[in-house]
Amino acid sequence: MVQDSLRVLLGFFIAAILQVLIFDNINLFGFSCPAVYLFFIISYRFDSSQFALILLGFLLGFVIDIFQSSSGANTIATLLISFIRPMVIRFSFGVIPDSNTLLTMKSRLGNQLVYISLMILIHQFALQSIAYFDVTHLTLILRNSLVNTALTFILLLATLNLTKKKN
Amino acid sequence: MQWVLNIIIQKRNLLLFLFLLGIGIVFSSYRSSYHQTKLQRFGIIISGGVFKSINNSKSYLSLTESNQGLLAENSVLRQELLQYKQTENSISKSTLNPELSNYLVRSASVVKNSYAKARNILIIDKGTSDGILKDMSVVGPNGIIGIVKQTSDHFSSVISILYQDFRVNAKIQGKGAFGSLSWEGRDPTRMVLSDVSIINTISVGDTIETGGMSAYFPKGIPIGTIIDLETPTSGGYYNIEVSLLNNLTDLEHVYIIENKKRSEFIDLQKKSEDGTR
Repeated sequence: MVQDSLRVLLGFFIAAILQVLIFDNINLFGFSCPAVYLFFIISYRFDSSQFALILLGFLLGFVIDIFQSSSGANTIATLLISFIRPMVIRFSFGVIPDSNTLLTMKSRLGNQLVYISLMILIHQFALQSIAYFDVTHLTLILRNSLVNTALTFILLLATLNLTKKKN
Repeated sequence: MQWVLNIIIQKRNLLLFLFLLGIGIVFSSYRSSYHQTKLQRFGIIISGGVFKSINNSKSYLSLTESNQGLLAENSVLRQELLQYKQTENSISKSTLNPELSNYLVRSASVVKNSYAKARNILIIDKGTSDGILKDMSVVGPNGIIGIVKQTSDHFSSVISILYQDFRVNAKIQGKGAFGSLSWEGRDPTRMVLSDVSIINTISVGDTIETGGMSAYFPKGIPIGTIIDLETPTSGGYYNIEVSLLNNLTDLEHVYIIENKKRSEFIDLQKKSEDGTR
């Protein structure tokens, strides 16, 4: 139990530090910045407390906002996906997923990809919408959301591949 | 009591989410003035819509009182019109005050009015689509109300004169004494007129009106009457307490005044200030 909590906290800090120090400095096409810290939310155990995840999601977004000097968009977007994650899991995997974490899941690759891409897309759309906060910028919001989703998706898949437990 | 606890436990995730979302929104508006302005604009639209429907039913119940007020106002206006007609007959048109055509007056209904806070705001049911712009002056049937602060398409928020830090240039009717009118935050019917030099002779009962030394209010709109006057032992300015003519706690209809030459006035003021630096 204590070991699990420590592992979660360690994951939280690693995600925040890597995002702030490395991924925030990637400026593809001048506007695209991948949100690889979502790895923490996406790989969080399916059977762990959602209450804790909502709190941690909020804190993670808050920390990123502080370091990015941004307007609070990360806080709200990360909080949103932490809250709706159970619905995305149900939509992607059906009622019960095969495994309790994405890190040990071997089968249903298609469902895994749907889950990951949906989580990133919702997060990016919320993030860009809050950042621009104006309907007249809808095309810009959509362009940034799609490009960032693609970039984050590729990097998250690579990270998942590296961290997946191999038997 | 048990069922309340049950609901809180059952919906704890949703409640935590909503609580943190609230913090996130406050955090966002705190960190970015762009978001703050946008949220305030959104707030005007929401509260304007809600309070307009509440106000519609309220105003229906007070139709008799409103009619009486409008009749009284109409009679005053008719009287003034007759006076103008008389002037027009006795003297040529060219001698009439050309300043009157510099202002455009529009009417609006108050959908939300606060007067119990330190900084009070009104919301009116006219916005940019009705030609209302930021910084236009707002007056009531008996005197000044405030200045338009922010507008959406169909609503506008107005900084009330009952707003601490807000000062209005005012003068004593029929005399040359100018001063600065402000609200101390206690009584919504009383304001304080400061910076009036003791070299002027003034007395209790004198009427205070707008001084016209700013681009906001036209000159000569009545504000209130002096009810208390103190001559300080030291310092060269009176302590004057003014009773407002308008009852700002009971407002239904207001008029928005557009000064057509405001931009010209501000440009000139800016140039003069730059020149003196």
